[in-house]
Amino acid sequence: MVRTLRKNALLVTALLLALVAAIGATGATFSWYDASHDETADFAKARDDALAAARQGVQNLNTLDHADFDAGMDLWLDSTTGDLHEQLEEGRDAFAEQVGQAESVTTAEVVSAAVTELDERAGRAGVIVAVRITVTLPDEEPDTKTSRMLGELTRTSEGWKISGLDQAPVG
Amino acid sequence: MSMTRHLVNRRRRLASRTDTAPPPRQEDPKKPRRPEPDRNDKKDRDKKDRDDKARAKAQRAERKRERKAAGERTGRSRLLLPAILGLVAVLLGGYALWASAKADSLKDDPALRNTALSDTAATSEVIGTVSDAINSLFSYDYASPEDTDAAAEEWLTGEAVEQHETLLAPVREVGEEERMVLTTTVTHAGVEILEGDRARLLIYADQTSARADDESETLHGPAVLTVEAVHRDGTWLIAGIDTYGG
Repeated sequence: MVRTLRKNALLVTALLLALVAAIGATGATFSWYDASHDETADFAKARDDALAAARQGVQNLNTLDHADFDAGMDLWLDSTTGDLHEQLEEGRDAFAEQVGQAESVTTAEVVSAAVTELDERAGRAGVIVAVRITVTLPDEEPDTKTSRMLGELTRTSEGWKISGLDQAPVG
Repeated sequence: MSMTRHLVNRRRRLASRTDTAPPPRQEDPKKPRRPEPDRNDKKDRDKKDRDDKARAKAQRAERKRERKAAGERTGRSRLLLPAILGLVAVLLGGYALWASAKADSLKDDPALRNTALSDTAATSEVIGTVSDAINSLFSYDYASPEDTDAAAEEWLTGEAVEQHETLLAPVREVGEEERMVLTTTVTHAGVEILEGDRARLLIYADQTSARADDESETLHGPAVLTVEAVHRDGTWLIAGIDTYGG
């Protein structure tokens, strides 16, 4: 009798443990599903992705060394899409000549950026990016100024890319 | 004891031995059921009893062996089920821990803590409040310089008090003498971070400084500032201003 009880107790304990584990597993699965299908999370991720792309893209588009024009320009093209991309491609030769003559070296540092609009479904975002740009010309002191950029981003198969970039108008 | 009775009894015994059916009812209830057996008959019975005992003993031993083997089998199968259930419990438990860790890491994503833009109401509220604050904090009229002080009193907290004072000192210094009017208008604002009661905004503003006595001295200038805001007593206050040397 005692032996039977002990065997049953073992079975009941194992059954209870398995049951508790099953309940835990079910709860954790729901929790995981909820967390990974959270629309707010998708939106927040799209926002952060767009912001990161905007920061990197604006920095790329304000960085160019006349001595390494092709590599710089390839990066410009890689950071852009749409109309802006086409404009850059079309103006590449003229721009190369211009930069070559000026012998300019331009570097950029993004100081602050924020997403102002985001249409996650359409894959479009508006950003503002403040960037400190330093232009160095031969025989001249480097000139640094803060630029106020307004950017538009479009989501592509390779991620967010800049499809429009302008300076914020003054006055 | 008559011979006939003896024969009858013997026949009856033999019948009961060969088949296991109960002995036929006694026709005469007065007759004793089991008559005294004779000596020969007893000898036979003793031998049979011995045989029966040996056979029963062998059977008992056989049954015992069978029980023992069966017991081992059921003992093993009784342990097998708890073992399988235990394994299932361990696997499910491990999975549950892994899945809830996954869920927690997804929920704990810094991207989710930042509700800039995703919380549209709070985002437009902080943009509106901070824009109003910046407009009045960086505007100055020589005719009523106390308005700027009142704005500072209303909107600033912490480090921002001193930062604002430093930024406005040049204007205050010459303001009344030059009859200066400084107007600041926020043109673009974006929320970089919005986490509960704290926020960071990037702001573009246009500034116009004019001299009441000389219109040719009117200046337009672009301004960029990053503002740290804190939510306190139902409104947003400015706790930090960075103008990037501008």
